[in-house]
Amino acid sequence: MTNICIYDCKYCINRRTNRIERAIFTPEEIAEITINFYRRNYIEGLFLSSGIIKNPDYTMLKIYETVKLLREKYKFYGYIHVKGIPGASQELVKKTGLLVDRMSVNIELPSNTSLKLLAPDKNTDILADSLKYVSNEIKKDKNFVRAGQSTQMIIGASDDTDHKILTLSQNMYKKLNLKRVYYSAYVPVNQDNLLPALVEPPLVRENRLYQADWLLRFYNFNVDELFGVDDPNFNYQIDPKSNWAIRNLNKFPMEINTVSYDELIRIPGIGLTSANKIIKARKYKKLTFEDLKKMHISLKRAHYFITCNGKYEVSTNMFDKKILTNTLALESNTQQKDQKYVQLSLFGEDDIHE
Amino acid sequence: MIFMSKWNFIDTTYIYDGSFEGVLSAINKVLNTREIPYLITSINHYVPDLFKNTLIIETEDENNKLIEFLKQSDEIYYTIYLAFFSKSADKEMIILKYIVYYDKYKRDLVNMKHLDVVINLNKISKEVAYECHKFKGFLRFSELKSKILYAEFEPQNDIVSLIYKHFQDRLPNEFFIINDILRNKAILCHKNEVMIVDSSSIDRSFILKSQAENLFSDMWKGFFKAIAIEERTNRRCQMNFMPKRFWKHLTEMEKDDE
Repeated sequence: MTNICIYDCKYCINRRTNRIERAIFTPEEIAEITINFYRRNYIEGLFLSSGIIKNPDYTMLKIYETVKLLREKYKFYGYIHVKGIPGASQELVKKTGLLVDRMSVNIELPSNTSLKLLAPDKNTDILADSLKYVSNEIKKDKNFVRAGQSTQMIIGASDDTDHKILTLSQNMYKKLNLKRVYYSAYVPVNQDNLLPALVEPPLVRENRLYQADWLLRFYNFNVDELFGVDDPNFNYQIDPKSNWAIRNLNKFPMEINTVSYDELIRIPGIGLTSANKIIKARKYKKLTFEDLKKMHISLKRAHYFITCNGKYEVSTNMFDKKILTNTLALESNTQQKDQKYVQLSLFGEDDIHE
Repeated sequence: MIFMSKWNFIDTTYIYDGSFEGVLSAINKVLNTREIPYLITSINHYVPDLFKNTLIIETEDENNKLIEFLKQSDEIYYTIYLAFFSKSADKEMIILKYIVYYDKYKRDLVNMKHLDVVINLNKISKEVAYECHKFKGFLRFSELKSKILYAEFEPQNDIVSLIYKHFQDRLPNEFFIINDILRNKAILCHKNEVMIVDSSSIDRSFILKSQAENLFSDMWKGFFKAIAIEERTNRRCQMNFMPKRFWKHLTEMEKDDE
């Protein structure tokens, strides 16, 4: 809606103290543009975010007016996702929530310490309360924010570990019934003492976090399974599931024709769809590697971890922790992008200005 | 497979009228006579072959029994229906072979994902479904002076009759036209009324846009450029979601005239 903002979060391009051009849409303008983009099939729906103008209540009111116009005057019934403004009155949040499909509140950073440091205008308690309020209202009324609640945090602007980030996600999924957590790689747009001097946004790390997030939600993994005791961060060259499998080689190789669905989905490279295909097809025939390939089940990673009718497709020498780690790292796509970045300690004495 | 020995293979080409009902009529004949023709082809694609007999298949009004039989599995019926609109030259025979196996294995067939017969049908059906899904997102309408919404596209598969319902739901009170300019086939929709016409006679250079049209298409192009985050540019990822073959009629990919 606007890039005007009264807050001064260190990492944000729209922070109050940045000298940039500011602009603002009226609710009518947003509604008019949305409906005309929708008619032309440019868009599926509206994602409405905003800087904080005047105060949280005023901002939320403008957001409410926009969605009200869209639903009532313009008869727009497509998808609407709005940002809930932390600190806005519950009454406003409630009225808005009845008109939108999704509402999200960004927790911004994975820990209280980093939030206090980088976004001092934002308050952990208020953020948590906003999320809890929406979560409770959803339980009471299925028409309230009917596509559920989500949140977002920045990755790489603080020294929080992957383990910490995913533990937070796991807890939020459990306690708040969130639909999604979004992990947004930090893009350095400002210079500041407190921000890391990243050369590039940590896109590979972001991808690994999403892969792990999927493991938590759909593959019955618990956060603690994904990390070793001394290893609170991922090896970015290998996907998290392969990482887990290599550290748990005693569970492999698995025989494709006999293991359960829950075991199948633990095999690196085998997703929910492939697991279902296998379960269905093996009722009629003992599956071979040829069958799996014909069914478009990718064996690139899986073939180190499975047998078909007792046969192991690759050399048995491969079945070794170190060799598998190196092989999978070499074969993975991350080799193509050389992720060079320096993550400096937030609390270190290093001078990160040029 | 052993059960195939109960079928006769005959040296005849069945020619049907090109419609879905037509191909079902041909397949009905196969199931009734237990004779599998050399080829089933539509009248529009028939290439005369001196060495094969031909048989014109009349489209029966009632293919109900066959449709009922196929609809015992919604998944199977829908897969076959989509496959019919495929660009594949072998689609009729792929569908026929599948139905012959279906006659034997019934609903179980859908789970036999290792069989070539199943793989081939699923492949072409999936291609059609994929293209429908993509074009539901990538079709771009322009508002004409008469307030009609007009969209052009060039699909590889014949999908215009598969996607119009999506837009009927989206635009319940509008008059819209979707024009397949490869096949010169356009669908006209106004509320519940639908008409498929031959669009070869339309002179597309005469299509006049409304006054507001340029305003909104320019805003869209501006928005498309503005939301890009340079540090996250990933051409490969972009092409995964938006293959280049869909760019031709996308407003946001139009070259600016200046």
